[in-house]
Amino acid sequence: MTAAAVAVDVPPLVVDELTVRFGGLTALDAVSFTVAPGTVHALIGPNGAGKSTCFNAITGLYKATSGSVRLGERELTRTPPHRMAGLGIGRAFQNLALSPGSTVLDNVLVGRHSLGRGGFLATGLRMPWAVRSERRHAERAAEICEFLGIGDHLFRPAGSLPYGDQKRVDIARALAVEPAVLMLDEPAAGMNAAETAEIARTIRDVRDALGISVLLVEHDMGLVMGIADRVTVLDFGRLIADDAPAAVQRDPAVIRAYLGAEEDDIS
Amino acid sequence: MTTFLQIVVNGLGKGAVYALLALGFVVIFKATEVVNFAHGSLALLGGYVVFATRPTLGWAGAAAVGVLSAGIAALVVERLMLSRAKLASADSLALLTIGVDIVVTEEIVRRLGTRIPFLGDPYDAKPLHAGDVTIFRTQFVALVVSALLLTGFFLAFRYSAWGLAMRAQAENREAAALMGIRSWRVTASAWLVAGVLAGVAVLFLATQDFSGSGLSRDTHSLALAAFPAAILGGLDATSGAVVGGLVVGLAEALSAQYISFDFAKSAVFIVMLVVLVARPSGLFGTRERQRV
Amino acid sequence: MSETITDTPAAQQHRAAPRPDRPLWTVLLRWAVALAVLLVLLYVPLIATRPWLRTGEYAMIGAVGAIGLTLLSGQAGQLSLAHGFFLLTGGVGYVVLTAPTGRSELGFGLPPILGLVGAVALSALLGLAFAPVSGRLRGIYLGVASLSLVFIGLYLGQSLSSLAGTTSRGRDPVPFSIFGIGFGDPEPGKPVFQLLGVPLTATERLWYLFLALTVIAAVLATAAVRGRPGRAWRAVRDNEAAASVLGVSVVRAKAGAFAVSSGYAGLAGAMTVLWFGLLKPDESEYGTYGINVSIAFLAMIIVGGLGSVLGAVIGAVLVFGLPLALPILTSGSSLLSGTGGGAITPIILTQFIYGAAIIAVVMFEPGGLAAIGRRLGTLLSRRGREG
Repeated sequence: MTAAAVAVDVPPLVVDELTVRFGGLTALDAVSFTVAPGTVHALIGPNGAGKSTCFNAITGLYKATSGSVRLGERELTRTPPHRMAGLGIGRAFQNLALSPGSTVLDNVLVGRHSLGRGGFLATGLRMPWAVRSERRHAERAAEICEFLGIGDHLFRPAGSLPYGDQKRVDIARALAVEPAVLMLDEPAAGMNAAETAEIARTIRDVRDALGISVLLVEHDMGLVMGIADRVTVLDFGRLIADDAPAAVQRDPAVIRAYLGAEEDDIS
Repeated sequence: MTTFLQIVVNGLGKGAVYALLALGFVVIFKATEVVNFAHGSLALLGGYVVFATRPTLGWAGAAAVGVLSAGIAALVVERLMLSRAKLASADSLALLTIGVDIVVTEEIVRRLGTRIPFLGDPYDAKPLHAGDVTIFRTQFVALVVSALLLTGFFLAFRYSAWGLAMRAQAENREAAALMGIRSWRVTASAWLVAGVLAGVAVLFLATQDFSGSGLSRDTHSLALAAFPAAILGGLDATSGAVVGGLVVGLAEALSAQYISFDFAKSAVFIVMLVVLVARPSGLFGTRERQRV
Repeated sequence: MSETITDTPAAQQHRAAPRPDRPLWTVLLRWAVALAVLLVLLYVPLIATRPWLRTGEYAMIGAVGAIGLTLLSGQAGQLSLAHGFFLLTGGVGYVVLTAPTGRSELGFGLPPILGLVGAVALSALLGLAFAPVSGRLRGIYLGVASLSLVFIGLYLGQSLSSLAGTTSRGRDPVPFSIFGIGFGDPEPGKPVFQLLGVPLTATERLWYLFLALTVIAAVLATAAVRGRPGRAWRAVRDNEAAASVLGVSVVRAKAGAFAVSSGYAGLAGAMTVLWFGLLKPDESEYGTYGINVSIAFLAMIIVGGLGSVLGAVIGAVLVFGLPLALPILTSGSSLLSGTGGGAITPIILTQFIYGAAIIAVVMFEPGGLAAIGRRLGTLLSRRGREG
């Protein structure tokens, strides 16, 4: 796939002492890690560790109680969620969050919203500049879909696709934002070994072809160890390890956090 | 001062009736997440049955039959239409109740024709005097009856097996079903209860004391006040429905007296609007959180 | 996974925008049908009688309003029962903007075309003003909150007689005219313009005016639904949190949907006063601008299929057209002409029909007529391919 239609420089995503409290519950406790530019960074941890909370706090859906998240120079904390796309964050979702009745192309084009212009009147009157803008965005969306292997399904309703392809639509939509950081929420959820391997390849291709950073939450250790450049481990809202995959695998604190699981599960 | 007291009692009495309507509304919503737009038509139907059977059964008998009919009608709507609409979401079912409301209301209004019967024979237009204060007997009886019914309801809701089942289903439908609670029974009984409450409410709505208007399309409009009452209190809060009803009744009575009669209707909705802007899920409702 | 795409500048230029794989004959057929329908509609005033023209015009009023509501409730997923209120603001806006100045009732003396545009703009702005409420409320809470606007409108209509006239007498609107072509009753003594030998009285002219407005309304809506605004609305409807992270400002999308929908309702309201030849505020919440009207529009879009522009038009023909068509169809027979208590009038029958239609739609085909139409379409195109 070509480099981004919009020039993207990829700064580091710095999470600094991020704390999120809901009433009496501390979901995230002074978590700090950095997603280096152009790397695949995995966020793992047992259930309830705070991974989704971290994701939602980074994208502004949850308000951070304290701490900050910075993308390069830009402060992301206290930024409303709808500005995230414009700042370079592209997010895929755990439950897909697609519009099942709309076509694949329409779904992916939602990701282009912040890059496009044209309100009701301009679009309704089919102003030439609006039409041209729409065509350009559709071309780019088609290109992204082609890259992800769903180029043949552009005009099918998204809900009619098999689960794996729907996941790709979700990822395509996140890529349509032309992000500096692609955030994937459990990309391998609900997939068998073969599909997981494919997703792993896709993620690596995205990093290599586009040079963007990828931050992913994942439970599948095979995927994580296979493609991550760095792994951050959370447990009960606290960071317990932040290192290369091989080191994290051997970390006794990590093994203890996954206590109850066989050692084989994390190797 | 006495005027103010009269108005407050008047407002509370009206509020008690609205509370009955709002509670039925909320019970349905808790059990099924469906907003019942047909509530007013259920009240109308119950009232019509009272009117139609009064000559033969006398008021007491007619009232009993009317209340029962409203309950059964609600049950029929649920069993025959709502439960059969398998594909529909809760919002779609709410739209379905709009359809029911249109059909039932038009039919009842058509049957009534030019007749606008008052339904509160034992207590209508027979004011009570307590010293300087004159109280509408209808409102007073309404307060007493509502208090009894509401107390009974809340006792059942908290302590009976039925109440437990209802609360469980409202909390988590699937889990409740897995625990052996037959969801169709809970739903059906919720509608039955709601219909009965509406049937009781109409006995007070269609009186001179309450509205000056007998059973007619106006009664349906009055029943509309159940909406802001229920919403104000929070659609999934049974105690909220009572509070909401009382607030609405008071707002109506106070604004009718101190601003203007025409403004009263708008006042109720404006109060509701203000509350909603401050608390988008009503005073006692639980906030929804969308999961991503 | 596909291979890398070559990306020379030349290749970029020749890359075509993605297009769905539709056979040419279906595309041509659609255009042919649309053209045929338009020609028929242009020809109708030359052959139809006045009652039928009036019915059609009223259906067009419904169509304009319904299109607006289907954009708000169908595309953006925002339930609104406030449509009657915005019809009122449109009617009042047109009358006040075009009425002569210096009288006891407020008027600005603007030419009717500006009055029409102004009525739409005013209603849209008021819809926008509702944005703080629409942004905070969801689902049924929003629906009932919007109902409060109808009551506010009822009260204001009754009290501000300098704007809307009294409830007993109302105000007469200035008949529409543009570029010197009047659409009201022609002045006595002046010759009436003729088309193919048929005199174009006020009724015929109003048909053409309304037809133009309806077509414009539909064309705008269809393009917007297919483009960026429609996508943003649907994203907000289906998952607000996800939509916002992807760059859609939920507050702006909802506010925009309300503004557009209110603008459409305002247009319908201005058309209403032109059709009645009168602006008269309601005496109760059941009237020309009351709850019943809000519910009627909701019925139109449910039956037609939430979100479908064509469905909205068809729904409007049913809900607004039927009660006027029935007396014409049954005139001479005693079928629906009863007036005593208990008689089934055309209005009552229509309400039975669309009430039952709503129930049927939700129970059996939640997508409404639009979904039925789509199924027929795929069925036919499949037959066409096999045959």
